[in-house]
Amino acid sequence: MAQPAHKQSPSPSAARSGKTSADPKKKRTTAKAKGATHTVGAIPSPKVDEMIGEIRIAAGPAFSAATRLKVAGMNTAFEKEKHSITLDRPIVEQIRELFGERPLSASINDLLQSALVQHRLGVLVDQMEEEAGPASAEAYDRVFSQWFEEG
Amino acid sequence: MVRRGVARVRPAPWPSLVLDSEGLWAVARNDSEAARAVLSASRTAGVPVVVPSVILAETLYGDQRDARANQALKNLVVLPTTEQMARVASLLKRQSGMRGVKATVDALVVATSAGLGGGAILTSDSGDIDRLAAVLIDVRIKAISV
Repeated sequence: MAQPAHKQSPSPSAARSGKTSADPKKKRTTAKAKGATHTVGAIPSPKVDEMIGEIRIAAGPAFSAATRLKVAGMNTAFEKEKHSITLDRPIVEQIRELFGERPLSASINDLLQSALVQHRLGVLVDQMEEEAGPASAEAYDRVFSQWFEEG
Repeated sequence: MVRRGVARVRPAPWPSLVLDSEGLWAVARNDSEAARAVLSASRTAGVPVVVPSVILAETLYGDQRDARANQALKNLVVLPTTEQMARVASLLKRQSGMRGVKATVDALVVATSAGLGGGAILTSDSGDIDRLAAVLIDVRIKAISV
């Protein structure tokens, strides 16, 4: 199996910006959610509507769990490492199709984050079920009925 | 161990799951079948399971009593409370006519869920959560009791 070439980025700030910077002290400090839509409102104050609308800016365009988490407040200013990896072309094509013009590194980072979050959740659920057994059909019924009940 | 009608896991219909203090402890203690069902369904659907950071302040003791909670938290996402969420929470409190520290924490939990596009909140206090969530009209947030 081909091993990814791995090297440390010359500087965290250069890695964060995704390109080599002449000035290692130069930092990028902002991140923003793009393509957002206001789809949620609240009653009765326009101010409430505006505020909720703002917070939904993050959730509205969410494509993945990771994206939702990221734009909703998860720390996005992690230090970066630069890697050279080899991917299957069809996978790259699908990622580009899903994320459009978004930088490939950021898209793959989000997908990996999402996969890791789900993996960790799976570990937790497996531990819980090993310890106390899986939930019964009745427990699922109770839980789902609470979600679906009106009001 | 007696297994009563072990279920085939169904995918969660909610787009996210937020744990409040009791929700987190139910997961940590692993003494709630509802908690296992909710988490298992969330895993099957691939939805994020989130603990607002404010819940850590409310729930943890800061000593060895936190061991089980810390073990669970290692595999969950702790989401920082942003200024925006805090401002939404204050409005939710006002609009629902609730006040006090407990209502503040509950409102932050609901605001976190709203920031994720809505979803389920695992809690022991479904009444207060539903009351706060009722302020929001275009996002579905439902409390699920542990």
